Amino acid sequence: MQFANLLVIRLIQTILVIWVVVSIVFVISRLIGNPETSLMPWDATNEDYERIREKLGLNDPMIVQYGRFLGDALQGDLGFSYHRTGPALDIVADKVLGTVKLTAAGLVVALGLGVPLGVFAALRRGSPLDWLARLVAVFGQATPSFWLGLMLIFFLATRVSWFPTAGAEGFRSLVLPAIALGLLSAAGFMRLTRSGMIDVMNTDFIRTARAKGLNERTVILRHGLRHALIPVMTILGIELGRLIAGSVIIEVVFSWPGIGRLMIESILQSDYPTVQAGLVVIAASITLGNLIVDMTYRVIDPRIRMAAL
Amino acid sequence: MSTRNYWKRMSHRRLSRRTLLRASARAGVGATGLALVGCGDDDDDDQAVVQAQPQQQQEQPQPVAQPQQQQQQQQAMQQEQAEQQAEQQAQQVEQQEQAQEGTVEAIEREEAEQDQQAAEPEVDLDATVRVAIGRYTAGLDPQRSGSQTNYVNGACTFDSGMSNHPETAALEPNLVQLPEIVDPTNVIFHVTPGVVFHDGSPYTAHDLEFNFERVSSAAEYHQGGETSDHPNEWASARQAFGTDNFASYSVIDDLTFAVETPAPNASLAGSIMSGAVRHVSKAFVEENGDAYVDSVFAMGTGPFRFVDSDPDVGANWTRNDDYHKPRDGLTNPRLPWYKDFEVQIRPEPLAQIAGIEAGEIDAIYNLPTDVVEPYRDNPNFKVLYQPSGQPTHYIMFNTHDSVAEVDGVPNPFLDIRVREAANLAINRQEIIDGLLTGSEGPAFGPYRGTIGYPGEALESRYHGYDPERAKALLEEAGYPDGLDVDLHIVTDFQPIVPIMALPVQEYLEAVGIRTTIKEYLSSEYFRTVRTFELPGMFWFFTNTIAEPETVIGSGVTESGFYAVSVYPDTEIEELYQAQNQALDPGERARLLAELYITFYDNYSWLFLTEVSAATMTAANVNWPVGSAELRGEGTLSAIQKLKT
Repeated sequence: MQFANLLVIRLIQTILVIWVVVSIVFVISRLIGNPETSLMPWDATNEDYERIREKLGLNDPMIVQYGRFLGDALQGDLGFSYHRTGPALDIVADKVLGTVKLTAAGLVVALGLGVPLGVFAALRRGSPLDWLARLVAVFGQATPSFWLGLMLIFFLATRVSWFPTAGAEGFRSLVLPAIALGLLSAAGFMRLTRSGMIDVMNTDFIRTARAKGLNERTVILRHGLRHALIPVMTILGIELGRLIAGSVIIEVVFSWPGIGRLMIESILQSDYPTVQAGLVVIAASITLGNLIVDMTYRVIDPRIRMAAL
Repeated sequence: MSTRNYWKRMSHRRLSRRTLLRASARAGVGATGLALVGCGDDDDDDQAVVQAQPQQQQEQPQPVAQPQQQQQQQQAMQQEQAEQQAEQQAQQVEQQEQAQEGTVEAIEREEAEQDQQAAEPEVDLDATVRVAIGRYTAGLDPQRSGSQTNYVNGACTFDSGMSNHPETAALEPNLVQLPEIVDPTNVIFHVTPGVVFHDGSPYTAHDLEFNFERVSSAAEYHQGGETSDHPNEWASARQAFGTDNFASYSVIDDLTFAVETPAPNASLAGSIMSGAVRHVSKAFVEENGDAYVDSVFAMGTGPFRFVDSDPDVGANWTRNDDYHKPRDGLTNPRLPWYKDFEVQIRPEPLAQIAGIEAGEIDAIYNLPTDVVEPYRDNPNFKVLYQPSGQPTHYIMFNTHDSVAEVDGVPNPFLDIRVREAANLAINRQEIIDGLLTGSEGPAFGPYRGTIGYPGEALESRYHGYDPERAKALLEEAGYPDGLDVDLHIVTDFQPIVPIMALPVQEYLEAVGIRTTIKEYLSSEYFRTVRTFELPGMFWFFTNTIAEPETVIGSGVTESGFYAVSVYPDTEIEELYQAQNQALDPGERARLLAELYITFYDNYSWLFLTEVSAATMTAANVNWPVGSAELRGEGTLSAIQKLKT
């Protein structure tokens, strides 16, 4: 199959995924709350409620509301926020950069910590350092990110004042949320890299490389790691989605202004348009991220590319 | 350098100086003594000669010409004089020493005062006070509706017509003076002269009229009126505050606004002028439009000038040095004790507390009480409990005609013995000690700070906890096997409600009142309550507004929005109407007290407990009143940050 055709098919799949996600959210959000209540005072009359429901189109049958929502969404109109001023999509778009920064930093932590540790543990297999690295990996995977975030604040922000406890001012404020977000994925990457490296380092072509007289560093980085990273790339897309989803709670703990916090606020306020817009952006980010990873995977692994062709 | 080390060093420095002063004072005494001895006038010189004479007598030859007896007499007289003078001299030296000792004591006293002053550092009037809050409403319009109301901005940037005394709850002038009662249905409001908006324009009766219209349905300005460009259609939050009770109103001159009411209305001023209604500038709103006022810039007469705001990061204000009320320690807005005010949005309470510990935050309010519990004895923090936004919790029995019979059986709550049994079934102290902070008290109806609240009289009537008596009452009422009812609660409005509902259910069941808890989200609950169609009991709470109309006008009088428990056969409605027509504040307070007592004695609700929230500050911050006002924002100007 041509690469372009594959890309088109995956894009269609991406759109379908976003549609399914948003449709589910559309139904669920209307089952769990009435936005007009948060817009009206306690003593608003039934007439007041009716007026605002009419204004917001909430009196229409669900299917009519859904059709209207889809029609508008196709034109890029996801409605106006009930609580903030402006189109919901614009409000979400304002927060994208914050979440992208945090997710990217989390990814850097995950890869920067996980891959070297994995390589190191594989090369020193069975040593105390290998055990320590695996222990760290288990700890990282078993630790809830919100708890880790609070501990990081407690020790590194309040006890030694190396970093601010919250906010988004400068690089220092990014460090703790990035660690809290990335550690879980780092553990996954570490374990995967370790097992991959162990497998690869026992293969014939590594033996051949050594027999050719290549120095050990070249053998490890150029031949060993390159192959060991293929499974890491495979789960990168999944981890990207996990990082974006995990940023919701990390943004709350560290008061980081991003889509996650906006979503929490909007859910609490029954601000449907903003919730929907946020989910569209998140779903699109995750599926597009996966798409990019898939495409990259095909580029770096000739076997997959050849099989596809 | 830590504060402790700084003070330790300062302490050492003070001791050294004191020692030095004492030494110099003693040296001064010595020098004075020497001066008296050696540097005096001629007499003193003679005395010195006299004192030295015995030695000189031994060294110098005696005059030959004087007879020996005369010489002896002279010597004896001189010796006597010398002794007397020496004695006087010694007394003088002693007096001088005493005087100098007194000086040392005075110095020590002065230093002790200085120490005390040092121990109570000055308020830093140029400080920036940083407060963390969990959520910040995006809109800046103080009259925005429902949960969209931005209370922080409302209290900082804007002002209310009147305020309430923090202790007596009596109305006090603010933008408007106390009302002039012309006759029972005509009231004149005089605008306080000299009050100016942040842009320098004066606050006038035209602004007052504009605000009345804007928050009420009295005009077509809003409520979807054509002139409104408010996002998503305007819906004022403030209809509840009596703004629709006018027969007519008019501006008489720039400082005078007249209101006519359909009937005598004692709560009018307290409602429409209360801290819940913040006033905007007519000219500013008309010039810039509602959308601008709501989303771009806030401008009022309040104690702070708005600087900027981001709903996800925070907001900034700076002190309005032209504020019309001088600073003092009271809770109502005054000229602030600090220069700049910064609000930081931190959704996670533990991150807020970490902010104080790291020196990034000065104060937090409306914290869950369990969160601050570990910090109560920590010297780095000050923890204060204050009434929460809904400080008094109770359960209303539905006694409406619509549920006079349920499944063919008479409504049990129409019988006062059943209501009394329910009240006696609850061990409030155990709930207070076990679930709450231990500092709360039982509920007697309205919030303690409400006008006319007869604290002592109510406390002397406390229903108490008596399950045996409760069982006996139920048996007397014809329910020897108990009864089954629904307990309706709201789960997402006050976190404590679903938690407290479980022990309440157990206590009631222990005496035979078996409840089925029906849970609702607030979006459904308040509308459900108002139908009065469901039988059973409904969990509710009062607010912290001093004017009681918002509670008794909605929950006690038979026509109230949330008056689930109505008792036409009692004096309650009569007392409600009487207090509402009593234009004399003293008489109204007396009638309100009588109403509260009658209501309590009637076991009208199942009175539960007070509920607290917590305020926490850094050790160098004084906020003695905490946020002991509606949602706390009205007391922000009272925060004092001390110099360290």
